[in-house]
Amino acid sequence: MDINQEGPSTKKITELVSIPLRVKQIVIVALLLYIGWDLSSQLGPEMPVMKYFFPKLYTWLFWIFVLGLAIDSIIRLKTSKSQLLAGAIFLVAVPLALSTEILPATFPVYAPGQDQHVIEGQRTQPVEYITIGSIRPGKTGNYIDASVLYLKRQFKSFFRAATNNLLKLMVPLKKGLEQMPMWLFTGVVALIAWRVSGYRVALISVVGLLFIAVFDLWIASMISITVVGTATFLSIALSIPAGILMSKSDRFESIMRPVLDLCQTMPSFVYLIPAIFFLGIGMVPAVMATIVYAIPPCIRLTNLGIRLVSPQLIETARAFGTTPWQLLIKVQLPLARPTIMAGVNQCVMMALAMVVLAALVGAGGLGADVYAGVQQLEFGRGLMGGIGIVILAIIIDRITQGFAKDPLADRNK
Amino acid sequence: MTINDVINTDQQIESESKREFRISVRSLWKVFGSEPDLVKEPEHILKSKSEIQDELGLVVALRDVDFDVYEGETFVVMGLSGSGKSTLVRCLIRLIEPSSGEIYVDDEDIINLNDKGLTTLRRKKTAMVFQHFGLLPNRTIIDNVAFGLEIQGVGEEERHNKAREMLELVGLTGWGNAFSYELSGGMQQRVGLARALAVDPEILLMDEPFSALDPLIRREMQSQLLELQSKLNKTIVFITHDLDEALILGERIAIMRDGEIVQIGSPQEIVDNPSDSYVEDFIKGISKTRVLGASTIMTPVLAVASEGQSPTEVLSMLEKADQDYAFVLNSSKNVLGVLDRNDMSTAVDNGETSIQTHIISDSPTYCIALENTTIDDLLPLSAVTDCPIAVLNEQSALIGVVTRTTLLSTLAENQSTSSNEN
Repeated sequence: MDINQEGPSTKKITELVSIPLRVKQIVIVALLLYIGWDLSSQLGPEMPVMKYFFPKLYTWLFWIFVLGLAIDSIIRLKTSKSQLLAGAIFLVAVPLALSTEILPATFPVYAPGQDQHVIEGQRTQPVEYITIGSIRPGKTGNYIDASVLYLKRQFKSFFRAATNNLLKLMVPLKKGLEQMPMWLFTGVVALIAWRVSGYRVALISVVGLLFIAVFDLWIASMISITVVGTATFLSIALSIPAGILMSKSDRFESIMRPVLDLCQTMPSFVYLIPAIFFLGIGMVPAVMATIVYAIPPCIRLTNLGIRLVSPQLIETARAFGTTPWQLLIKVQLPLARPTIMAGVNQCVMMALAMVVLAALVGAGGLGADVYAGVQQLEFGRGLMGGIGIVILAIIIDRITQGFAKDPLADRNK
Repeated sequence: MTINDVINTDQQIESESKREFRISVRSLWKVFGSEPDLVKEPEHILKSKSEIQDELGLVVALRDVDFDVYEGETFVVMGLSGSGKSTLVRCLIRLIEPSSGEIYVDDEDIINLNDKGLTTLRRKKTAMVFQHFGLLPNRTIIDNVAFGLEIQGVGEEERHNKAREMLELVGLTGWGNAFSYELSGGMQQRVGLARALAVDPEILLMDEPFSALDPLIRREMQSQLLELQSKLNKTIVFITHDLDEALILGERIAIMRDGEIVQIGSPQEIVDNPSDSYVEDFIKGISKTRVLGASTIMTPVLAVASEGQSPTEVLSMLEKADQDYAFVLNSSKNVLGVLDRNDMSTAVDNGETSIQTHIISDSPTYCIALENTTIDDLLPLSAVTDCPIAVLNEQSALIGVVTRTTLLSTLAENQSTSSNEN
């Protein structure tokens, strides 16, 4: 019943604010005329002076944009009461913001350092910090450092054990790959590629690996494969259960979503710092940082794949008396397989992208060549390392894409 | 309540005492929305579906639904889309949780069943066929058919044997290793049927199984279902929006509107005696002669003779009644045959004393029909004989006759009503 009463009032405000097309045209023409007048007044013997005209235009456009946004969001409010309230706040706030004179001198109009830097044109003024009581938000980094240090001291034995266990897993793998005869490794990769994706990919793999061998990149590649392989394996082992949980629980999904966004948008360098701090230098922190970077797409796509399984098929399965576990194993996972494998493919590719950063923490491998090339300005060395990474990426991508292919798409041919 | 209604209920009571319930549904409600109980408040209970949706934001899918399904019966639920019929069939095995009400399947309280009981019910007792077929695209046909058995934990060899058997039953022998996309719609639905039958359910729930098929295939599937049903004798709850289909398949039909059951009855009752204008609208386009039985148009027998009468008596009786034929009954009221008036007059002229030799008891002259023989089926009989068609009940006692005149006038009436509506 409430909705009925609010209907007309919402409409009224919308009608009030909605601008006829003619008025819009007049506004645009006026704006263009102003710009023309502004430009012509600036045209002298020299070209128009950018610093006078454009900042002014931008300011204008910015204000129009902000005002439009504010008006639009007020109109979209559902009840007339909230529209009135928002309008009132808007009316008070805008003049307040515009007239800085009435504000108390202590009101933080500018961020620390901003006024000296931008307003007064000085760059080297000491910055006055914002403090709220005794707390200084700008110092949060220091607090985090302190707590990280505390964590490191507290869980020293745990981290040491984790590092050692991971090394126990990786060192034999690395040794094995390093000592494996080249022809055997190439043969195995070609075989897998042929079975999964066809002879063309097998051929590409053989040529690529031969290239790596010929150009002295073999050992470096093996180290990179160790790091990427371990990270991918752990990522998949963690992400598929996590993805399944996310698909089953909307709440868990809403918790995980921002966490995954954070993992993906945080610059990957940042992961390296705590990784080194807790796990020392070498392959282990590299693997940890790689996992954090590579795991989100795999979790997301597992979740998506399961959620995209047709509700009609799920209904059918339920009608035949499946338990939730049977539903997952016999219906949802098989049908989500192509999507999950696409996630795995993404996971491997992102892990490869971390190879250079892994070299920064001493993992070695192809990334080390690139890194050394940057440090010593040896473009050739860096380029060769980069080409090695590209070759590995192509081979791994084609093979995992073969897994991701929809089995039905094949049979249609 | 009209006399007809009284008769119908009497018949129902009679048949109910004879047959066993498989499914009983009592005042079942399903309301989608946050506060489903609000609908049942006194101030809202009389409001229509659209009023409730506008005022309370609730969608009433099922409103106080009551019905019973008997053992071995094909019970058709019919209604337009949005009338709640699909929700109803899903509520029966709680694929959709009902808001309130009672459901009993073989005296088992479905509403209060725990997860385990529900799983057992869905695995062993019921099977469902869907409009959308619901075949798993990543499995071969045989694995699809064996799906129900796989879920029950039946070993591979056994379930494949059973699945092959079922594929044979629905006429898809040899398709076991194909995938669903290789099959036409009709074949896919046969796989759906085979999958449902493979678990050997006592109750088949069919949710518009043939609606996605084209008309020719649909008719083929309907006759296949009838054939299968005559062999297997399952209890079937069949959902459809097609009255033709309902009339062909249903032993009893429930018509739904806006979540309510408007009328339940045999096809004949529904066509003959629609409960309101909604049902009338439904049956408008239907040719009544295909559904109505002989008993609905029959007229009383005007000339009856008994075995021992003489030709003179019969002739005078025929002349009095102005009839050309007389039916001869024996002492237990069974019809022996008919007597021709001309034949009788010759017999009288010849001075015969017995009518025995004149009784005609075979076609084409003498034709009989059962009370539920449809009018369409009476037409060919009427074409070959001048004699009224005798209508017999189940105990083969004569209950009336259908003359050619009655038949023609019924046809003419039906023609004019359907052409008016068109």
